[in-house]
Amino acid sequence: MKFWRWLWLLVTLGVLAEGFHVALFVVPPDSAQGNVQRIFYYHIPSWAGMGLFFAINLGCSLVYLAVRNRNQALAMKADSLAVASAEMGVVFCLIGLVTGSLWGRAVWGIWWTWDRRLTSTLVLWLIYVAYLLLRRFAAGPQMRTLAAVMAIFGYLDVPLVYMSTRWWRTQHPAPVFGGAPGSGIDPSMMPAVWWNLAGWLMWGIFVASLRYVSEYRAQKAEQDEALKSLEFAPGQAQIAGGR
Amino acid sequence: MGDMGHRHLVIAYAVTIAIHLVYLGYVALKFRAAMK
Repeated sequence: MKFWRWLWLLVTLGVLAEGFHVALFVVPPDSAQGNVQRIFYYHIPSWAGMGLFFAINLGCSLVYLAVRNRNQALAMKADSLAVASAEMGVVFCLIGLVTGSLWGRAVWGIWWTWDRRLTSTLVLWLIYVAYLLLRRFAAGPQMRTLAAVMAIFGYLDVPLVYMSTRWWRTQHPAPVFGGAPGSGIDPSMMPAVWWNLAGWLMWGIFVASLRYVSEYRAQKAEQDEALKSLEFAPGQAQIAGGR
Repeated sequence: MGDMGHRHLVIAYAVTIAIHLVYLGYVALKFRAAMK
């Protein structure tokens, strides 16, 4: 692993440790919910990570579709990054669902309810799991194109998830950030948000970069093997023709 | 909410870290295989 990757990991672990410390031991408890509100500091970075990595997946899918017949090297890089970002987004989305469910059980008394925010988020997670399953099990040259098209349609659910608590009032609380006038949290709690947001996004970038490298290398090896077999094929044809 | 709140807080943090570590393990295996 390259030096800068180790350095990034080291800084990331430092930021995460500080985020953990600030979230649990420094910022004050919520006046209404008490200590269970501290789930928020791991819950919010999960949604931010999900939004970031699904947006990267969308961008890479668009690039792949645009250049796949003209610039195969760039298309391969875009497709590899699309896979890495989709997986990372699915991981963040899963954590958001699980931490939300644990928080909901403590505050609402229920693990789950079919309200608009929760349902649209579950659908989003399932769409990207289906995207990854398509990539894993579909065969043939059209697989990557199909996956890119699916990613674009799948992303349409992201704005729906984001706006769901603005358009409809259901079980899920109104937006904390960017909501109605007066929304937000007490400034004394913000350090825990910033540290954990930075730490988990840096972690996501680190893990996704590793995944990108392995996917790109695997695709490159697959392509090299296909080219080799094509080079070998005419010779075989000549031998067969000479007989 | 007291005891249950504390328990759920600890579980939420533990589950977050555990899911990230499990995925990191999967990625590390893929990375090692690709580097061979």
